[in-house]
Amino acid sequence: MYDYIESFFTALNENVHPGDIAHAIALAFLLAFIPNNNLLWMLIFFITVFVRIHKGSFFLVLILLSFVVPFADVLIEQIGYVVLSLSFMEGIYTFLYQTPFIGLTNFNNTMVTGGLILGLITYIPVYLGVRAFIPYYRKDLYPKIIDSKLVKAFYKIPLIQKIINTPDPRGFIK
Amino acid sequence: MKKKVKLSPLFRKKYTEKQYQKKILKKLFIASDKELIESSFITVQEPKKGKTLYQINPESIATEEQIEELNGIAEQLKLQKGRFNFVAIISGLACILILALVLTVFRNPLSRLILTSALEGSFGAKCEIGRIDFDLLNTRFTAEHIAVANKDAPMKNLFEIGKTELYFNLLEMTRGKLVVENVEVTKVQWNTVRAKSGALSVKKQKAFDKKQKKAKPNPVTASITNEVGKITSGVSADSGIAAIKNQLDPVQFFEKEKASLLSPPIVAQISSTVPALSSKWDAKSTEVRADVDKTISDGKKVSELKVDSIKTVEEAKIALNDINAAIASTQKSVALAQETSQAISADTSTVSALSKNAETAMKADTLRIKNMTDSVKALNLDSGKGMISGVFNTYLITKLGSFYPYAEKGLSFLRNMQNAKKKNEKPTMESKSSAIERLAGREFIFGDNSMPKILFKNVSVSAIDEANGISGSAIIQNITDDADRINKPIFLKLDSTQKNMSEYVSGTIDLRTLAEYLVNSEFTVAGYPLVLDSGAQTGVPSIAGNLKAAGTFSIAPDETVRISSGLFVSNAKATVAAFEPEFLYSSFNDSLSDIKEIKLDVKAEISGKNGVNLDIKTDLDSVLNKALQGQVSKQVEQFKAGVRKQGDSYLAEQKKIYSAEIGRFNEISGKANSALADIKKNEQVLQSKKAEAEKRIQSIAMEKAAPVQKAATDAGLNAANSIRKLF
Repeated sequence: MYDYIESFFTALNENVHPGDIAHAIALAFLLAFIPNNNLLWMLIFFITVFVRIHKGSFFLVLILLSFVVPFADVLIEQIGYVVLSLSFMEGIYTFLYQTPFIGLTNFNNTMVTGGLILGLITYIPVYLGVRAFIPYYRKDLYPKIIDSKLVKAFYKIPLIQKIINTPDPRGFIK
Repeated sequence: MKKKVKLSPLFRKKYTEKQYQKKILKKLFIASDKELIESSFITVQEPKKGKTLYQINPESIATEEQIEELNGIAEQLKLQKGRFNFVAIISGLACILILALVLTVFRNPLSRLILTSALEGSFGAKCEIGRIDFDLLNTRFTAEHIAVANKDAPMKNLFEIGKTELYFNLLEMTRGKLVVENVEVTKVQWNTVRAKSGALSVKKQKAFDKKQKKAKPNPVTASITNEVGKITSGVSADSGIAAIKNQLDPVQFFEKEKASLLSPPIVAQISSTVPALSSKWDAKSTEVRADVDKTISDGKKVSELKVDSIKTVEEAKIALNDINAAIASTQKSVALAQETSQAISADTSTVSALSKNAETAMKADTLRIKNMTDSVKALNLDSGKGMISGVFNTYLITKLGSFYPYAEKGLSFLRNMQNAKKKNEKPTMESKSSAIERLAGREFIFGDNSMPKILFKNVSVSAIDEANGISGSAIIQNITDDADRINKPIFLKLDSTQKNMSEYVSGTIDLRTLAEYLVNSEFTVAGYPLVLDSGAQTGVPSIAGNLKAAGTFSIAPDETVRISSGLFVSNAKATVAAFEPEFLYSSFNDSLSDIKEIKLDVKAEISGKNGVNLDIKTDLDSVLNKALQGQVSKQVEQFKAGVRKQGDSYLAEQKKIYSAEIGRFNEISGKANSALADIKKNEQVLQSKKAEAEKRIQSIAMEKAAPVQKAATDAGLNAANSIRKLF
């Protein structure tokens, strides 16, 4: 977990393409919304291995969202129900359902479809939001934070000093 | 020596304007880094074409720190490549391909491993499989020559299956379901000889035993086992000839009536209280007696004194003093004896009251026994009504004990299949801490072909054992883990024959939530050679013949088992070993020898709560009972005399017990009273002696005074005469 946090902040403050971080966070949102006991989740997860995104940001956001997303389950389930109930889609659904191996995706489950739809809906806003935020952070926010009295005082705390000066800070966070 | 730091190749190259923008500047997102790079690059003219090129100004990087800073930026720039990682994609696809290849090549060894482990785990013995073929494309699974050893007899097979062929539904399998269209199991044999031992390795055996121990007994099975235990230990021998013999026994009859008698509690009361009172007064009365005897003995010399022999007053005075001393001693003894006697008298009245009560009770009991024996007009053989049904009761309970656990195991397996998806396993602390549970969601079904996770649509089994002349077949349909979804019960039809024997079972196992019956079946068995050996049990008939049974077997959702069946034994032969009394045996045996066929109606209800309730009825029981009743009625007078004799003997024994205790107390209290009487009598004797002695003293004194008085009188008279003569 520490590695992911470190990797995330390093990426923010180095020359990592904002798109790498934005795609990573958007994909993390998509996977967090979908229950993980089906082939669909595994496929999307597998894709992330082949796509150049910032993995540290991806795993950090995925882990953090796993604590939050269950609170949105009712909404996800309702979205899934509405989508699976669309009568004009029934033909497609039936075709998919009757096709070998598609069933393993559990697409007929309201949580899976709901999660997929919500993940896809949020993908572009999340991507664009993160994409816009990173330049702002790098150009304006980061200097302000670094120069703020609060951060300076924080860095003066002996324990923080010790952590900063330690070659491998993970020893403090066992 | 410190290694010289080299500038990254990225910054050693020369770039055109376009390349400089694309490969360097567009990849810099940190303003300070961008400024550094821009300040470090300079433009130069290409000598041949005259183009403007960008390159690092060597003068701008004077220190190693500056080189390292630029190298760090270069590393960050190198990481920025295209969106797709083609190397990873190719590697991933290769992995999938290898996995698919491995599964294809090793599908049969894997299937063999899974099936062997499953069978060994279920039966606790080795399993061998001849040929196995898992043909995914043709949706077929074949296994030939499956042999599962018998764990109790490792050199024999529990069963062998010639061929198992299974056609599954590929579409459903890709949905993670096992839907089997048809299963054919042929050439099933059992108890065949093995070349090698079928015992599992020690490690596997331990794992199997551990699993078996964990299995909880079914309550119905427990009830049946309990009933079988009762039968084998003879606890339930409460009917039949043994019960009749008990009824004809005056001793046993009188034993049952004893509780109504009045005298036993009173005798018990006497036995518990009077001995204590006797012990309490025994020593005291002995002490009083000894004291009285000593006093009497001491005063014997005085009481035997012959007062007339006393001659002098001095002697008389000495005697009187002795008498007075003896009287004083006697009065002390009288006081002791009187005090003791008065103290005993309170307990004496208690004992007397008890004695009186005992007498009254004895009289009442004598009358009661007389009335009781007079009231016996006939002997009722109610307890002997189930002679034949009793034998079949034992037989059926034993059979249920043997077979029901197997049925229960199968049923339990099917029910567990249903429950697997419904039961919520308790989460461990680890799982609780590592995940937040999400909603399960709802599942939409599209199209008609919506199957549960496990479904065996049709299973047909055929078995032939030519050596033993056994053949059989079974058809089972709709075995599933979700009966509610397919909305059909499991249907089964089994039939088998072995020479003259045949069995047929047809029915349903309904695992649907609102099913009326869990199991509802009809069965017919015929041609079974029946041998019911009573062993050494007195008066229990041994029965042999050919059994035929037809009936129904059902299990309710609360697991209550109900069996209703007619049993018919043809060519029946019933015999019984000789027993006492002879008249009863010969009558019983004659009746049994007339039996040629036996018809029974069996109704059984077995539940974990109420245990086994087996009701077996046959007309033969009443026929036998009637025959026996006739013989027994002739024995009534003899029975009455026996009861009377038992009663009298018992009462005499009671009387003896309480009389002995009362007698002992009376003897002790009499001892104290007689001592008092004796000492009082002694006192009277002494008082009379005293009176005599005082009288004697007076008499002696008078005798002494008489000559003096006469002389004085004579002197007086002489003096008077002298005086008279003077005148």
